[in-house]
Amino acid sequence: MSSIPTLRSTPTEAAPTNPFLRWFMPEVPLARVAVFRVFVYLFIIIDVLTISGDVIAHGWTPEFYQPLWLARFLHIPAVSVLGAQILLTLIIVFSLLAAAGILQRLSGWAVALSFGAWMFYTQGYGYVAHDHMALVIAAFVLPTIGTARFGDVSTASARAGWALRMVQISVVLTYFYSVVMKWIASGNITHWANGAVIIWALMRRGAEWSKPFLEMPGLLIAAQWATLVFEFLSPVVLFLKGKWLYGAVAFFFLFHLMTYLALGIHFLPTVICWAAFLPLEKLVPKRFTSTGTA
Amino acid sequence: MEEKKRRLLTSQDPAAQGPDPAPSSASGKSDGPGTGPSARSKSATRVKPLSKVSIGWRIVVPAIAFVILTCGQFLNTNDFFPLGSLTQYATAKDLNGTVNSTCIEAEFPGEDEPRRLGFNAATVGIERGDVESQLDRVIAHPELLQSMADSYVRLQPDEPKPETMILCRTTTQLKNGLAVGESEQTTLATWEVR
Repeated sequence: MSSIPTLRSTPTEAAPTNPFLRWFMPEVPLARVAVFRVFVYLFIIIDVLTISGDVIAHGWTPEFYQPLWLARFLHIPAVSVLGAQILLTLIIVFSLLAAAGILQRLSGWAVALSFGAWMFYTQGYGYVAHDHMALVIAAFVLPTIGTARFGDVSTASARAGWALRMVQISVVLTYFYSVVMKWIASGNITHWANGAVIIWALMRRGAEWSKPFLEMPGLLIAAQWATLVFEFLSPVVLFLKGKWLYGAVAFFFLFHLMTYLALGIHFLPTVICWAAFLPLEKLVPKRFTSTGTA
Repeated sequence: MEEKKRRLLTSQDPAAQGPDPAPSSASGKSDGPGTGPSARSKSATRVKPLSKVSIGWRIVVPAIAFVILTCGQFLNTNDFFPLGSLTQYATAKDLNGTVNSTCIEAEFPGEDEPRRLGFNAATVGIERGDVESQLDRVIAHPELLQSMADSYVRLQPDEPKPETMILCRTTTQLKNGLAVGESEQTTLATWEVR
């Protein structure tokens, strides 16, 4: 492929010609990555301060540390309160730099490593939450893209497309493999669907307004079947376009909003990664999109 | 003026410089979610192709991750986080079974009855789910409750120090998916706080 000289400061690259590779690493505007990066890195700050903010408290309970495989392999010890506070500070500083697009690769990798360590300390005390898979993967694939600026609206990149595709696949696998796990854990998937999982969840952590639904087990069983169906079909979203894609993303948003209101389970780390499906470059004000100033 | 100069040098169509249009099913040409045709507009240049190495590792690494994630499901292990099993709410519950919920209580000086504490990191330094995930270990080693008592004292400096920590469980019987009777509480472990 021949080179075309431009004044663009951000180099772009050609996408592969193989149909699978064109799907696997499509060309997408770098501006989309620049916006997505802001979403992800600002959310990581919110995450470490709230959702996964138990790491500092874990500094008080080192006896409960149950290191995960990679933490054991790397001999990562239990966190201390001071260590957690230092790590928190580093994550916030690196995330702000990365969100602002300063030293993009360096700040991105610094976030990936420090946030990865934080994840070992929030997930390594017994309970492992599943809502962080796509977010952790996003933190690790974003620095592979290189420089991406808001002005790169018409600068297409297969590197960016690959990274966003990885996040998209992680998002849908979070749902699809949860169906696989329900099937494995229950032996027979109908046992799960016809069982009392939502009843169990509502009784343990349900909001007061949702308690009357405990009197309607048939409705809750129907909801379980519906959940199974849309989780099983979630990979279809990878191939949707236009209004169907927007509709699917909105549907999953509403699903998580409902589980949050009813059970306090928001799945926000996954929800934020749904943004990888959207043409985020449309959010960039036109005054920032002048070609050649990327 | 500078902008005009750039356009002349790059032979770019000013109309191609606007934001990418929404992904359109009508176009049928988009090869990625939200990858509209304008992503490859006239101004989208290709300085150099992705190298074979660059493409290669971008295929191999996700393939390995996919295998690990898949193994994580069938081995039912969370050990490979973030590629562990997605077990959250995966276990079937019997409509005529019981609903268990682990709780934590503490006896304080001058109080006749144990007091229920919030089972979360802000109160006792650890979440209920974390303890439930290693419940057998905690029951076998009740001295772990000392750590929760210490955390409670540090996190609630204005509260009195507990004398005894009690790990408990409430059990509710279901019949056809409806709760029957009152919940029963059992003691799983106790620890005299040092």
